[in-house]
Amino acid sequence: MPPPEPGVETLLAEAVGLPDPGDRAAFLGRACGDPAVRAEVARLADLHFRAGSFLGRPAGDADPTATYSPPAPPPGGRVGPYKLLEVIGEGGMGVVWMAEQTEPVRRRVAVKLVRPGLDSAHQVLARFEQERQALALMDHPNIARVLDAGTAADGRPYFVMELVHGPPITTYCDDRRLGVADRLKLFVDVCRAVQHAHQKGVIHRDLKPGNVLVARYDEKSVPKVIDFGVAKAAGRPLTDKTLFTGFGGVVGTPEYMSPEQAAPNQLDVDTRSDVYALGVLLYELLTGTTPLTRARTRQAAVHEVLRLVREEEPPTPSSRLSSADGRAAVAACRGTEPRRLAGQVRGELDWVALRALEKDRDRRYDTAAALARDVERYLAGEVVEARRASAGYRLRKFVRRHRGPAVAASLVLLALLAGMGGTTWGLIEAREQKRQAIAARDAEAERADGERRAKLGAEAEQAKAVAAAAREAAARVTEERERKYAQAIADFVKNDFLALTSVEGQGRYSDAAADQLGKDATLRQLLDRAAAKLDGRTDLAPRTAAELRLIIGLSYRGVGEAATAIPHLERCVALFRASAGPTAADTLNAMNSLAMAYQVAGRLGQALPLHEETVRLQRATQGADHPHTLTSMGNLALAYQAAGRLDQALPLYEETLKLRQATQGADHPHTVSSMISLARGYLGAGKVGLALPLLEEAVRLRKAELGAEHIDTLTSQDCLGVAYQDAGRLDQARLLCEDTLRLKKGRLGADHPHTLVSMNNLAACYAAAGRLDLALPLYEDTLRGQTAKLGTDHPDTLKTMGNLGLAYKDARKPDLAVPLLEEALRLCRAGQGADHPETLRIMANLAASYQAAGKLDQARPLLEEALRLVRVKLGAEHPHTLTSMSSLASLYRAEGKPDQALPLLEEALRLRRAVLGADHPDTHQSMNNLAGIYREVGRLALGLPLLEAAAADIEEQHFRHKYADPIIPNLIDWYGRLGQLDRAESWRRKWMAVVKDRSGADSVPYGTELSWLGSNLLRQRRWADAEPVLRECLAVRETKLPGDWRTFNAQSQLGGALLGQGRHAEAGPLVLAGYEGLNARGQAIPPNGKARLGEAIDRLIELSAATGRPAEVTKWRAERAKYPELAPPPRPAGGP
Amino acid sequence: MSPVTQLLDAAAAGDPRAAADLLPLVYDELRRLAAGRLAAERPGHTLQATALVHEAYLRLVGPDCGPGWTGRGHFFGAAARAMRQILVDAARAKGADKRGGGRGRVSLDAAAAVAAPAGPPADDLLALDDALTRLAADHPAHARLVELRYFAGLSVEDAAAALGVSAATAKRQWVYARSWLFGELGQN
Repeated sequence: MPPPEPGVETLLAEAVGLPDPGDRAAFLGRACGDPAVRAEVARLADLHFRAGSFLGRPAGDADPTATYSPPAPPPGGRVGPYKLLEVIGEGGMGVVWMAEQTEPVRRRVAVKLVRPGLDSAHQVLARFEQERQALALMDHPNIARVLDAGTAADGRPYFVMELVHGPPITTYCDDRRLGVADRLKLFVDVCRAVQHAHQKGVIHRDLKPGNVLVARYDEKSVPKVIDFGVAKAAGRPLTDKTLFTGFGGVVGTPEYMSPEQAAPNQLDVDTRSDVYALGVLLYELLTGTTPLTRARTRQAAVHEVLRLVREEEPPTPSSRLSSADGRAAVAACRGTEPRRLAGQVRGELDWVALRALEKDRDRRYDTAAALARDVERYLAGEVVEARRASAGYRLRKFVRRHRGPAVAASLVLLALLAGMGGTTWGLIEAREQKRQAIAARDAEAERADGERRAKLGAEAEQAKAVAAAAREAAARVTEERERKYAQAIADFVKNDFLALTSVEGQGRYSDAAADQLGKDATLRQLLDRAAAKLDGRTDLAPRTAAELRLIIGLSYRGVGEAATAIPHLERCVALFRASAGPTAADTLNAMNSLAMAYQVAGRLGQALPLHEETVRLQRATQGADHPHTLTSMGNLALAYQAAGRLDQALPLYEETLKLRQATQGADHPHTVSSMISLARGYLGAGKVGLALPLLEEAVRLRKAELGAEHIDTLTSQDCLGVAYQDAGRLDQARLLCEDTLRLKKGRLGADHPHTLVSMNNLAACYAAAGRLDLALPLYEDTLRGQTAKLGTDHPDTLKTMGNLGLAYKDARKPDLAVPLLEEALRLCRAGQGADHPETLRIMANLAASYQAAGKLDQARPLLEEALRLVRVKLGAEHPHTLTSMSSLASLYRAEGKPDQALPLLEEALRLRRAVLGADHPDTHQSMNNLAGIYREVGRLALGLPLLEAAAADIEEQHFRHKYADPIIPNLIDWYGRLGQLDRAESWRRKWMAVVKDRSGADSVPYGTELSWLGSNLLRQRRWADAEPVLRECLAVRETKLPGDWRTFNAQSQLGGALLGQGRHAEAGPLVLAGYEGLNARGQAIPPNGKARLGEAIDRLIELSAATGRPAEVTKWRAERAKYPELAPPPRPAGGP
Repeated sequence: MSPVTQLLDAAAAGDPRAAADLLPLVYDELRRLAAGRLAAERPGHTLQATALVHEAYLRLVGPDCGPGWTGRGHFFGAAARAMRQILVDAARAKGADKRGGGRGRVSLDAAAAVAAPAGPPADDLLALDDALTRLAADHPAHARLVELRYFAGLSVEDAAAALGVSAATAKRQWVYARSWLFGELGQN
């Protein structure tokens, strides 16, 4: 055989990813220099594709497609006294016939003929006889009775049952489109029936929709449980025969099998196995699928199916509903829509189903009746019992994830907590005592029942089972009080805060936990006290203490208290180092947790070296592609980016993603996280084009995997919103951000750090779209929330300060902007460094605010410094660099130095076009600024095309554009100056519509626009066109600006429009009153509006002349002469 | 603690003899299981090697005293080796039947029934066995991987864990080994 060269295997792995031979050859040509190696890889890759399913199925495995053919009817078409009529069903166990009984009564019955080949009919019937007495005791309207059993002529055993006309319960509910409540009511009936059987000592063992039929009696839906006693008699412990050996494929129903039935050592099946199956039925009634879906049990090997039944935790029904394919159809079958259905199921019903589906039967509902009661509690709108129990379960999940002696540690934590007093505790205790009392009573009743039946002479085995159950129940009652105590607290405390730590890890528990976050402050207090108690304990083994510190530290971090978490995690790392060794997996994981806490708390100086150390050690001890290593690598890259070291962050992000895709698969949640991280890196580097497709794909995968409302999905949406914004796709950005914020508020509360991030993002969207009226209050709320929650020097807080300052500046409130940004700059320099990107951004914003406040001398040095730093830090083409260039150019221009501004702006525009694209808002801004400079230096011909191109893009974006104002008004002004009046008017009218839409039809800004248009129309002597415009203008102003000089100007102008049309009588009062108003307010008219007074007098002169009053004409001419400087300006456009 | 558990622990702790001692134990248990099954089944149905190996593990080791993956790795390694031997022996026996002679170290009725109906044709299996031995000469790790996957029915992930390599490595090795073996068989 050829000695495989190093690299052959790696190249082969890549080559087989390319099904097309041409692609492969091209790839190998590129990737592989050595012709011998290339030939070998090509040969093997070729073989790979020719090999098909070679070695695909293990040797000796049965062909899964082989199936049993249904057995033929027995000879003569009858069994015993029953005449078989037609097949009405077929299942794993046998075929069911509708049959006619003639003796002793004539009636229709159902006859089930058991498949041959497993046990002899004799064995089956012997077992049936054992249970016959108990079966006879059953009498319940929701149970179809088993009437008889026997052996057919061909030796097959058969059972005879009451005939039920009706489909399986799931089909029945779907066909009638029953809603959740109606389904639950039917389900409660089923539970009661099962409970009745249990009380008679009969366990069903094979509950599934096919064994729960619904018949209609008197217009009522009556569920009937069939096959009681049959499964046991047929002797098919599912693990052993029906399923495990898989004759002719899987014929059992593993979807409904309880974990203990799937266990290899065959625990006794008891009533709680039926409770489990009822849980599966409930799950299916709610979601349309079983927890372990049929698709999966079909695919997996048999032992794998059993393992899944035993080990795999089902997703909550609500998360199944929000992720399942065909959920619209599922919802339609329940007479509702997917969102509402998931909302209905989320919470209480999730808890109930999962409680019934607990892997550990001790944690399930004790009885079918208890399950029924909890469902009824839900229907009555009461809090379900399952909620409490599930908390402890989630604690165990958490503990399991953190392995090691965490179980012991959690018990210690519980003991610590148990030492606490307080009123809340009293409540738990009271409830617990009550629960114990009820349990004791139930157990007593059960025991008495068992004894009674034992006396009745029921089978000894049965009595033994009942007695054992009673003993078990009694033992449960007499369990140590302390343990109960601790457990009760676990239920109470862990419910919320521990589960939240799983936000980073397993998704679904964070849902429910997040619901409650921040709404129950006592949990935080309990955590604080547990932490304080832990400090006082010196008797704990180091690893135990370390696990406890980890739990508490992660809990604090989970509830957004990273700074409080740090000392616990530091202690945890020290303890692990000392007890497990400096390179133990636990130590390294703890180091990663600590580094993340540093990072979240904004302490990058400590986070970075620790991250680097962790990654180095994990690579050395666990391997470069170990999942833990990859997690730490991703975190390190985040830290690099947070520290502004993108050159180190990006390659690390890319490497992490590549390894994740290779080792964990393209749609693994961790891979998706890596995609998002890399996209954020690209965004930080200004590479929007690379970030967008990554993020769109990530959001899609998250939605599919976790549902649309999961916190991780929402976080990915945040990123996508930012990316849309960076790409200038403002409409998409706004819609997404609004949606995200709404969902986060509902999930996490309004003051959670995650929610605050989304608030900031949405405010930024508004600001980018020019809606400062919406942006400012939202930024202010965000800043208040972050200051309270995170402190003033947290990076998130500083970001918002920088944004709010800029928004103040844009809203022409430099007096608010300057002090805020000065403070932000101070904090940011101190906390994040003088050349941190955030510091630079704040410098630029502050300089712009100085400029707006007229403090050019303070603005210039700040901007020049910022530009120098940002060029070094981020490179000459980074968007931030370009923003700095633009800002500095604007400043030069404001200082009257257009020759300095011009080259800077030309360069900025060139780079923005190249980096951001020609239709990006910032590119448009550069075009506008450059046009302005061209005008100043007299190069009008160069400026106009720039403005026209920008305006065309803005119109295409429906004027929802950060720089629509000033670009559009500028363009109108240019057209006016150049005498292109048609174009000016056309744009003016478009712009008017925008202003009307934005500010309202009776707003001052809209009045201003009307006045501009009216003035121009007057100047063009288009009197009839001007009249309606000016009328509207006057109406707005009389409402909004009564007594203002502008209102009188509008009055005079309207008079002018009428005058032009020869309607002197109407014009007279307007022209006169307008003039008088203006004249009386001469002082209030700004210099650029003084011309309006002259125009008003001109109208009086015209009016007097037209109405034949020469004396008036003379008088007004004299008046007009007082304002020689008020000759009409040469340009056609004029200000109000 | 069952003898197997002790051996697994020792094997996990690095005792090479323990790993060697596992093989006969596992082998016997598999055979016993196969024979027990056959007594209960009608002819024409086959067992799943996968299920057998798993069940053998549970019977020998028990579900709860399970050692870490290192120990399990040794077990499955032994089981895969045993399974390979059972199947190859059965295939040889078949060939020997045809030729009227041959050798066999097990009573072949059980093993043949396990393998014959669903496994590959006897000749193919023997050719594969030969090729696998050649692969093991230069690439013992690859050969073990094929044994675990093909004869013990482990998934890539489980096989990777049993061999103590990453899943990505195991996937690469699998692609290589499968192509290589297919090429070897094609030459015959």
